[in-house]
Amino acid sequence: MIEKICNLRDIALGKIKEAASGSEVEELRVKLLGKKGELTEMLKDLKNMALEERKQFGQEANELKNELSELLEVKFREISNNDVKKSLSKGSSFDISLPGTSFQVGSLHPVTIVQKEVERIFTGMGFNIVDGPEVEEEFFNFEALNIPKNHPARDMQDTYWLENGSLLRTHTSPCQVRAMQKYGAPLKVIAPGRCFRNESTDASHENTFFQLEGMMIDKNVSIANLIYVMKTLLSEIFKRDVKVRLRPGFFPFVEPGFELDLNCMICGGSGCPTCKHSGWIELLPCGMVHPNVLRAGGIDPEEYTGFAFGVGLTRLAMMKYGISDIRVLNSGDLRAMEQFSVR
Amino acid sequence: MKISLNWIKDYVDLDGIDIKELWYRFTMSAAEVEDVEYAGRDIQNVVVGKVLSVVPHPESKKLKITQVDSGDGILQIVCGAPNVTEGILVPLAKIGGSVKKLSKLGKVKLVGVESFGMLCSAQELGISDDHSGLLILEGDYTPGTDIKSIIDIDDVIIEIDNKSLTNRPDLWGHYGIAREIAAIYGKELKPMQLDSLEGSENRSKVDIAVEDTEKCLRYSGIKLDGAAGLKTSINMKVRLFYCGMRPISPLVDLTNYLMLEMGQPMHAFDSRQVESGIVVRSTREPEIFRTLDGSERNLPEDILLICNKERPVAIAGIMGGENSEVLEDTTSILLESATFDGPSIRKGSTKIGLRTEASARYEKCLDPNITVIAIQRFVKLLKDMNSGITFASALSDVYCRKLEPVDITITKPYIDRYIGNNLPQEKMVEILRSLEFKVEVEGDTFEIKVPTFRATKDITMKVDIIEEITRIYGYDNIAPQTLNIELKPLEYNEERLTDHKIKELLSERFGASEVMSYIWYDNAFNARMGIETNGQVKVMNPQAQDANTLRESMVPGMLGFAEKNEKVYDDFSLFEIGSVFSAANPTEKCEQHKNLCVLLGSKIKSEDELFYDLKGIMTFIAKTLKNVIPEFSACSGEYNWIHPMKSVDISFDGKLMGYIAAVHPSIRKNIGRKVNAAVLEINRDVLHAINTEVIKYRDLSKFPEVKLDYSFLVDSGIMFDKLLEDIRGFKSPLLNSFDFVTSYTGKGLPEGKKSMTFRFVIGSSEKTLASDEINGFAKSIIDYMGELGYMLR
Repeated sequence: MIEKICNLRDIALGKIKEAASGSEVEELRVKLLGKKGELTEMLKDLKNMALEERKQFGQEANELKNELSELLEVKFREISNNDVKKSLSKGSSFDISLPGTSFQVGSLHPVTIVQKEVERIFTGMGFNIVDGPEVEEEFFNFEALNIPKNHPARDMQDTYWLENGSLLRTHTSPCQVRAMQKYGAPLKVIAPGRCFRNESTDASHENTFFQLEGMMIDKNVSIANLIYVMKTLLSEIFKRDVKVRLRPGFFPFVEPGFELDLNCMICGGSGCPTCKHSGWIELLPCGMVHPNVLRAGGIDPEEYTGFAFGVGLTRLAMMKYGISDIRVLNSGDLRAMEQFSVR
Repeated sequence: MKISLNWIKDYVDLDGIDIKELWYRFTMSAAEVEDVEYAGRDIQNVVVGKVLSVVPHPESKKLKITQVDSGDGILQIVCGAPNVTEGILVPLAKIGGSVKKLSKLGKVKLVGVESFGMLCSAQELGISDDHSGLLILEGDYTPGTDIKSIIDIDDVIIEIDNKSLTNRPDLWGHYGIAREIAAIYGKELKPMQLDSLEGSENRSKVDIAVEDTEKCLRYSGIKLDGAAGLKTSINMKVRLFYCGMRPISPLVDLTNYLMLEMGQPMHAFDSRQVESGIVVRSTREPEIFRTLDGSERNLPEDILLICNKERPVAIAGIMGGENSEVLEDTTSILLESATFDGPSIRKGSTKIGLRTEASARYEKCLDPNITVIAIQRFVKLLKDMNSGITFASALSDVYCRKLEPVDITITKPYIDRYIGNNLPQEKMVEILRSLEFKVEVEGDTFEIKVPTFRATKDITMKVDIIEEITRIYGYDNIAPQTLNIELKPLEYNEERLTDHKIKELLSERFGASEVMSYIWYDNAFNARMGIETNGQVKVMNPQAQDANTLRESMVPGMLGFAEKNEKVYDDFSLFEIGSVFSAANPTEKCEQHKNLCVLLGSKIKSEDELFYDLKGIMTFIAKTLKNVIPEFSACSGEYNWIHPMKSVDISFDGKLMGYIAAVHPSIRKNIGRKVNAAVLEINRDVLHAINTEVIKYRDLSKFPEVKLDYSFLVDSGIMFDKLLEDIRGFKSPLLNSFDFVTSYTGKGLPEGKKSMTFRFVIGSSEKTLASDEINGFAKSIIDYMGELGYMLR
């Protein structure tokens, strides 16, 4: 019997070695180890054997079974690996340059993108975000900001008046007073929002635009603090060290009031058309909150001081993306809007 | 406002100061310099020429041939000026020289005759726009003398942004600007030369009666005789011209010159028209008045007038009358130097629609204390023109509302704290004094008297003093200081977070584009589209009448964008979060809140698909933001763009949030022939106010769930909601959840039926379901549905 096993082994090993395809290997497996396979058939004889013989033969047969099944497995893998190699080596016409599946890419309005970024910077600096209504009351838009009736500053801001006596806010500054009244001092807030001025539109003028108001109030807030915060802020926004200058500017709700100019980033200050050859770009008005405004917000100007500033968000977005015609922003024109897919 | 550097030099020594730096520092400390123009740079090699002879040009009627003494030989020059005559002295531009618009003159032939230079008009020298003839030089000048040594052609003209001077009435004249420069550089400010008015005291006064003492703060006047044979000097004319005014007549020139110098508007009346004296009153009813520019003006009531006893002779502070202006034969004038209330002048000039150099200055609130000084200065300059001037009256001075200097007490520690840097005390005092503030120092306390020319409204409190010190000290010299602020945390702006999240979802997940639209309707567009709105919040002064209504809905604006974009795109999604406004009527205060509006437009998808897309988007937003499922029910909205059948209300917990609707076909067809459109509009505040459903974690079942899909035949008239409710009525402990999979209508179905497929997920937390349990469930759900008339397909 042992001989039979030895024979079967020799033959099987030879055939396995010669097998050239996966199906041949499979055929062999069935032929040798399948339900009616040669080895299986041999094992059927076991029951007719003496105990001692059966034991020996059984062990041999099982070993052979394991050996063959492993060899078959190895052979099968070898062949299939070769098949893969062969098929890959043929080369193919697969076009890797065809475009990927197209998914509709949406977009955010450029002002939203800039607004989010500025909000993030301010929140990081501990400012809170507040909002105010777009239809505003005369008191908050003017009186409370130290702009009484007949003040020339009311001329500078051509106001849309409503028939009900309210107005469309001409700036986000009313949020200063609303925030002071609501939260008191100390206070660190920004208020981004939409503003409206009654003027005809052209490439650089819009009657509807975004501003961002900022305000900080505490005991002993100083002009030197204002300069520090403005510099830090602008370095964050423009992602590099910026050179700024402060010069006198007149706004009724601050005293002293400043115009903050940014060293022209196009020419580096040597003068170019963008900065009208001055080397500086007028960027944002700011100043120490006027005592009358603090009072209107219910804060004692003898105890607290503070500063406020305004950033033209629309202008910032235009600068950031090189948008030269402001009217595009409210046009709803997808050809323009869909470009702002990166936030 | 334009400022002449030559004029400034009358009052401040600028030797050794770099002009560019000067104006930079002025911008940094006082007001913004917008432009610096170097006048006269383009005028080169122009000398005094004496015309020796003039003969006609043989070939030209217009031209003449002249021989001109250039001081450096005699030149033949062909000249076309009508006033060229023998013996006159004129500016001569030599070969190689330059004048306005002509640089590097060469020898030319004019109609066959050679010309070796050019005789110039004032315009060609850039000092006037007079081109009627040659500029004839009065005086005894040697030919060959450089013209620039006679006429101040070289000057630096500065344009200052008027807006940055709104709060500085004192800077509306050269003397005020000179004072700032003197302070910035720590230089001396030279006094103005004034006439003492000696000899006028014993004359009788002009009768001046101020009736309206609210609008007229002070009225000073004096009568002057002998104002004949006056001539405005060429250099005065140049200054006026450079500063943007046109020389008119000596007396008018002089009042203008004074206004440009001191900022004080003045007016000269012909004495003959104001013999009876002056009355200052306001119109009580509308009047018609002809101003000296020849215009008939309709004056409403409450306009301040200067009158003689019979009739008005000027609109106070704005413009004089034609009936009393100085004429060529005027030799006696009444000189007015007055201060009027700023806001009244501003209101008046707005009402009349006439804004002048004078009114622009009065608006800023001038200092009444300079009226008499201005008269003294005027008389000095007038006497320089003609020493024969005499006083025909004493000075009349009606000072109704005296302006006193303002007193402010401030301490150095206060200033230091406000600035955040410690400035030397001496420096502070020096700056204030250079600006003509009187300062008494007592320890670290300053007792300050603000000069009245700064105290009309600009400087009234401590912080104003700090501004004066810091701006002259230089804001750039203040060292930045980090801040140490302790904050109580405020509530975070959750609305903002909601907005940003919605925007991100729509753009990132659904590929929509954010847009921004105006908050008012475009009435013309709405009419064209057949869109009906009922906005009650009205703008009184819109840019265009079509834009006078604030929106209650954002949809009309979105449809406008749809019309624009459907021409370019076959498939587009737009969204916006913006304010909407509503009121019962135009006089009522309005309610305002933010809406989210989404518009889907497509030539590829049907409007049904768009409608269901929006329902899906809404559900997605509610689930993602609030972990809730919104409720949809028949649409109650009444806007006429809402499709009567394909529309739903969206609500949650009984609160109406908004609606989704296919656009009504009668409007949709106006948007574009092939485009389908659907809109979603919800109140962002209502969405935001929904309490987020807390996530309740369920332990994972250890035993597998079984999914069973069944399709039922349903009458096509039965709405999904009804079906859903019926299925919800089925109770089984094994049913974990069920979902709608798909619907089908068409081939293979009985007439009037649709097939609705649902997936039932069953399982047990205690064991793996045996097949008889599964079969049992299947039977019970099929039986249950069958009883309700939904047969298994």
